[in-house]
Amino acid sequence: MSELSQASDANLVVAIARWRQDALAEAYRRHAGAVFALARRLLADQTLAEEVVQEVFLRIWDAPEKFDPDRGSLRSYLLAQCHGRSVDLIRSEQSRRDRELKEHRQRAEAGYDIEHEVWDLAVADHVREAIAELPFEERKAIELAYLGGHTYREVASLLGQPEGTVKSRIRAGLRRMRGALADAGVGNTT
Amino acid sequence: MSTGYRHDQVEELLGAYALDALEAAEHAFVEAHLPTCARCRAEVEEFREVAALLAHTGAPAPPGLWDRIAASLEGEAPGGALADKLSMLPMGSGERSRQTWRNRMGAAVLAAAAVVIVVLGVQLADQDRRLDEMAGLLERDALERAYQAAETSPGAEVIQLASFDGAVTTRAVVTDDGEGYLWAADLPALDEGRTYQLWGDMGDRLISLGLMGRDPEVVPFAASEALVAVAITQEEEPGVVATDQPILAHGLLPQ
Repeated sequence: MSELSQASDANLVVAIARWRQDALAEAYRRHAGAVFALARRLLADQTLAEEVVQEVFLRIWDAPEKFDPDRGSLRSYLLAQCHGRSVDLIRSEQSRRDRELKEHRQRAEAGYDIEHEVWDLAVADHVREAIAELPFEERKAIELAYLGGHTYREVASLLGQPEGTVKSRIRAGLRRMRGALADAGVGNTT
Repeated sequence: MSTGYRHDQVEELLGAYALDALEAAEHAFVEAHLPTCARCRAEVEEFREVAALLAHTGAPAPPGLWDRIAASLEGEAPGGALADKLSMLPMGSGERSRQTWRNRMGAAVLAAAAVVIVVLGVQLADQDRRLDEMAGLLERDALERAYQAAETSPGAEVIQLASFDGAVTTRAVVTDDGEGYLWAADLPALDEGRTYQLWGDMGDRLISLGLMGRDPEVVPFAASEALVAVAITQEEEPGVVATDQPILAHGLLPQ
């Protein structure tokens, strides 16, 4: 087991491509917690979240070549798969989305923010600093889009701002965070 | 093909795209643009890395979820427990016993599995070549040293692997903390395009422990507590999810 527990994520995917279930198990051990937490956060439903996690890990087993280690970390790949699938589910069900909108309005009013969602103590400080540097409006837009699973048009409606402004703020905020994290040596864990 | 959007218009959408926050039409515009623009692709990847930092680990995934995933991996192929297969493998008549196994599995299941195996095999052949260069998982010298270290470690057990007709015998060692190493240097080298594959009998099902290549020396594997026995088959590159080939050699693990 030590061979796999010390393998890089990229090498784990190599082993997965060679039908090594123990490599998939190791990838699951490293990342399933984050994938599940994101799915549950977005879907607000334990069973659906588990189904998404299952799909994400079966997909890397069936199509490991879709992950390109030159283009990003395995973690961000798995989380992007999870996010995409989760928002598909949210958007396919209008009543759920209405409920989500309501919940997120309440969260926004309650001062909920992404500072509480940071995943790793080792990088938490840097990420918090990067978030703190964001203008409030950019932060709110990213939060509602990524952790709320809303389209930028929905975010615009929630915040009562023009759609074009929200679209620009999401990109500007992400660029600002990327810059701050790169300065701190965080953000590229490939 | 024109996307109907200028580059700078697509660029404006990249942040929302990376967060899955576009509606279908705009999403499609970006998807059409990305294959043609390395700069935009790089920006999306960077945004996704940033987004990944916003997701937190939370608690571990719920107990039992991994078991369901592992079970569905086996569900996609006609794998049977090694014990079942061995009981159907009369000495030295691999062909007949395979026939028995096929009948037992049912033609439809087998055909479906064959499609899965062929499709995955084609996808993986390319990837394997590419990834071989960066892998470094199977460095022979290091593995030989690992085998020798394992063999002399306290509590290690040596397993003898044998074929039914005695033609293939080799051995493996399993350490106290569940590391396994198969000594495969005695296996004859196979033709191009063929590979040995290592299997683990988990009691109720047979799982792939990994490809061994056509001329293996030392093959590491995970010897979990549930592992009852290991077995070797010969397959076409790049291996299969479930085998219908005769067992070349097998050995029971110490309980």
